[in-house]
Amino acid sequence: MSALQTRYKALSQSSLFVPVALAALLVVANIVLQPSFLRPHVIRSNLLTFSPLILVAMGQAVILIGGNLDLSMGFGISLLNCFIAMNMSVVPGAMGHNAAILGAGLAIALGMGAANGILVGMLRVPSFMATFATSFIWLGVAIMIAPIPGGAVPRWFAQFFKASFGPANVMLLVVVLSSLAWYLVRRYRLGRYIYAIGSSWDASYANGIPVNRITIGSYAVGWCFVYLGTLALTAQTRAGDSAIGEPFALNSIAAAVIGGVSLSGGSGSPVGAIFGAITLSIVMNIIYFSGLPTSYQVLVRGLIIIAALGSTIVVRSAEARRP
Amino acid sequence: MTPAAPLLPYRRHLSEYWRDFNKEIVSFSITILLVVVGGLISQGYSDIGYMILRIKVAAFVGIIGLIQATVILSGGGGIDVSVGTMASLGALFGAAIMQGRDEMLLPALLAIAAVGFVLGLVNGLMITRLRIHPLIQTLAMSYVITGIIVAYSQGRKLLGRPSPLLERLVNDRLGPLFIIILVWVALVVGMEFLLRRSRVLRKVTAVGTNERTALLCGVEASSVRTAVYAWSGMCASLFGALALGSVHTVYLDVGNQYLFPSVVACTIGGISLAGGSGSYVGVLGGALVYTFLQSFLVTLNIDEAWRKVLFGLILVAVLVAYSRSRTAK
Amino acid sequence: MPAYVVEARQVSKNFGGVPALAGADFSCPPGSIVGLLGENGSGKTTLSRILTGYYRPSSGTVRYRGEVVSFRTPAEAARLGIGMVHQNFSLVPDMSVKENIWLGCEPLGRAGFVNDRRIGRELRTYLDRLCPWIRPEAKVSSLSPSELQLVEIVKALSRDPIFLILDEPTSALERQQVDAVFTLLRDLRRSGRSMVFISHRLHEVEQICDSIVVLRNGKTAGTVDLSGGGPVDYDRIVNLITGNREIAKEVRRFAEEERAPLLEVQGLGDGLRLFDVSLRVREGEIVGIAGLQGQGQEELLMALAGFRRTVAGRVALKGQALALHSPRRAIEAGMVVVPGNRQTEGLFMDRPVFYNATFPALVHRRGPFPSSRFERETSSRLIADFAIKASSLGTPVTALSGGNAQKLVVSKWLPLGPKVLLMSDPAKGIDVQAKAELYRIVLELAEKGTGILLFASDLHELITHCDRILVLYEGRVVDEVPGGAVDEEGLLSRCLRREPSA
Repeated sequence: MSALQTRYKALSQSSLFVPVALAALLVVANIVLQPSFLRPHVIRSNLLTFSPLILVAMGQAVILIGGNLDLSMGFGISLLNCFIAMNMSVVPGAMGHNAAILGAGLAIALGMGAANGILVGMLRVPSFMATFATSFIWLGVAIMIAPIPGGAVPRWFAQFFKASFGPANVMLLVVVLSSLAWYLVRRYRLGRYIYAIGSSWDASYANGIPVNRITIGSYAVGWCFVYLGTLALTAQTRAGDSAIGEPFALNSIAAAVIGGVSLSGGSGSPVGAIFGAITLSIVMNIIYFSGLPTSYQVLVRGLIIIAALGSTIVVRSAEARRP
Repeated sequence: MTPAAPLLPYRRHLSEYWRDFNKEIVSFSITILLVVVGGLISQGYSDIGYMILRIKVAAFVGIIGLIQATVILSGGGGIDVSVGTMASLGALFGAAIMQGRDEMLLPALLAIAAVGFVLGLVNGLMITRLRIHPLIQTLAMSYVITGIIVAYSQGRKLLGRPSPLLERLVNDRLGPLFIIILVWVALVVGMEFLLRRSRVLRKVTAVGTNERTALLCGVEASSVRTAVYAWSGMCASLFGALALGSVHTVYLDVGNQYLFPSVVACTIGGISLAGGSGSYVGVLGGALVYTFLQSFLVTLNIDEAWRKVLFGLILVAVLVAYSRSRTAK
Repeated sequence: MPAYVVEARQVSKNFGGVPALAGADFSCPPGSIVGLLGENGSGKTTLSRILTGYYRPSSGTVRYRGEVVSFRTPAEAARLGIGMVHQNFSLVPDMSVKENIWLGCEPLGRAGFVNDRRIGRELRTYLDRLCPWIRPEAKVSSLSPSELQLVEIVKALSRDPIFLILDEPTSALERQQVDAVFTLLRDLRRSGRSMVFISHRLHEVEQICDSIVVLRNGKTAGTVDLSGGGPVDYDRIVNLITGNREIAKEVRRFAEEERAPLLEVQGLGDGLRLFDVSLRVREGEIVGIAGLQGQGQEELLMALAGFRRTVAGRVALKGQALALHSPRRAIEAGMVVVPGNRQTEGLFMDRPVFYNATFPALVHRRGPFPSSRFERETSSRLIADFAIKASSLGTPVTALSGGNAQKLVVSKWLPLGPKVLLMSDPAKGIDVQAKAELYRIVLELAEKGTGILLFASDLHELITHCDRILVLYEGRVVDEVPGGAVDEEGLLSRCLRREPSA
């Protein structure tokens, strides 16, 4: 095999290949339908809109890689969003207070992740049901904090992610830094063991890996990403709303799967989920700009999603069957 | 020919009855407990009339629960998160065809069933042939169905009305009970009977328990599961027609609200997510607990937020208890 | 310096009343390789699990480097330098070879990172020597069975053990790979390490071991010293393994008249483990399949059952050609299988006895679904006929003992009246009483005209019950022996491909 062929083989076998290719394909389609797509302000605006899902999908990906899932992310986001918006102070000079709120928010996010992790890892409740149950708890608390949408965030917070340089803005930096953070986790034993338990719980246990603790760890790491996503979301909505998180639960799973993360665990990467989320988000753009009558837009979106999911999985099983 | 052997009983000791029926016993007990305590707390809670109204609500949850239970029983990560949107679609198409006329009831039901069957079949084929995980496939299908609903309903002022016969089926009483409650109980009895005494459902539980053993006994998981998802789509659509009967104007997501309760009813009712084990009577119990628990929390004058939190905590407690009982064996 | 690295004295282990070990002795001097031999069920695996900390002995003492030890977890044993090459692979499928080898004890660099570079360096030594073609980045799920085994060996060696147990380390390997492994083991021996080599392959044991310990029925039957050079006394070894039992009174006499052929197999092959297998089973005949472990016996039965893909060959049942696409076809034609692993393939473990007992009957009968009475009658009759100890029909199968559960695996097919019964080591791991009852039913079935193709890892079972025995070696039928014309040692010799002694 020539050097070029070996390179191609390695590239095509990387789990990122399909999600990146898919996203690239859709970006091209988007450019064709919306020539202004490449304008800097459009790019920046898209970055802002897509990023909450991107970050939450990364978090879901971490948990999926560990062989579990988390359906409570949606209402968890609602809870965090309401907490931040209702508690932050817009009064000038309240930096200390606001910083404390943000810190408390992180602690709450980690707490929710740990709670789920304990249910799944130590009490051995299947993750689907466990996180389904906790989602009600988070929603209830979110409604307690913000019975009706309200609250506010200080201006600097709202502008923070929008700060721009060239076609990019801080939001892009956040996503890039998150990916780097993941690569860091990957280099530690925690990252390695998350893949191990997702791939084979039994073999991991046989090798002396503390499977329960790693499960909890995977949820904790995942919810760090979720918290970042909520910050991005809250900075844009500038308010707290208990209904805001609902679509994120299932959308983050779809985005991760399109991004090459296997539902059975042990393979894929949160970086792939980035592209999966981009794919999912751009589909809406494309449909809008394609001039399809509005009544058909949702339907076509659904069909494209099925096609994307199907292709990801078909490609992966074709790879697996190759000798 | 060997002489006739003594007929052994299915169960001998009381402990065996507990082992086989504990989920049903627990869920009925919790329901009764809720009724009793609720009655103590609030005067009107145990009033028969109110109870029957609540059971009417439980009937809807219970019927959709039966459908979901069958999917979960078939194993392989089986779940159908498109039942909610299927029901909405069924309601929408049903109303459009019926247009408030009784003579169009049957054609409407047939059309709804056909549409649901085809969509469910697509689910089944994608899941078994392309090996897409059921959660993902049915999720994607729910997106598509939502799209169909939006596409169909946009720009239409008049969405149709259910036929009076259908409305009567759902809202009328036979004696003190609503007809729909009797329909529910009949369905549970019928399906429980089929679970124990039919080839089809025995294959479903076999495939849900152990695919390999089933295959070596000549039962192929892919054909069984494809059939289950097609059936589930058909029934969920028909359920939409029922849901239609309970509301007087059609709205777009009349069925979506039933997805979560269907899963909760199955969980509390003891249907194991791994597949293969559980009973429909348990799902009936689960539906009762779900409905009575919700109304109990309302009776306690707890606001919506606390209701959700308490509901979640109780569900967690039930799950932990079930998980404990599994590992204790 | 103690005389032995490991010394086990009078070690016993009971599992719920069934003794796996009953006072076994074992010792291993430093810088030596000891072979551990014995039939299936003799206690080899149990002993090795005790020595590596997976099990605690019910009685007896284990000394490691002169000190009495009692491990609570395998990790404790591992920390002291005891290692094991597993039979059931402990590798994580989605991770690379490199990641797997150090899984659980990764070397750490500064700041607590996993030190990938150091892993790479240390890894190369063993990987290069055993399987240089395997890239350390290759995913374990992409490896062949022989490569998996080599990686398991590399993994165990990389932990730098002082005492290493290798359980059937060569069962999936080819000749050259075995030689490479042996060269490595000899180097280790030279540096003072000790190893235990568990294997069924006498010729390999002879090559590499300094001495042999033979276990039989949970006790030490004897030891043989190989280090003195000179010819190896095979007869003595085989004698120790088999114990020179009296052949049971119940030896089948096959009627001389020609019976009608029932199952005819020609040129069956799957391109991986089976090559050009031809055989014939007549009505009422019990044909046995013998061979060392992993020679294709189980694969042959699974292929005939329709569970395993084949690439060549023709099969006919009672003259009718049979396509082996799926088990359903085979069952409908009358050929059913009793699989090797009853928990994952033979039974629905969490379901009740009646569910398992009546499943094939109910699924394959025509007509309306039978009544509850039929279910009770069928189940009750099977339980009575097979002496299955279950007090009520609703008892979950998990509550049955191994022997009773296995009887269920076999008996569930009987209401269908199968023509051919394929049995994959049906009596493995069940107690003597249940074994006898099981074979009684098998013999009854044969009397009634059912053809039986039986694979058993216990050669004694084959000799006692079979009319003819085929010997499989590396996926081919290499020998055929009429029943009653061979004893255990003779059969074993044929399996080993050695000339039997006169």
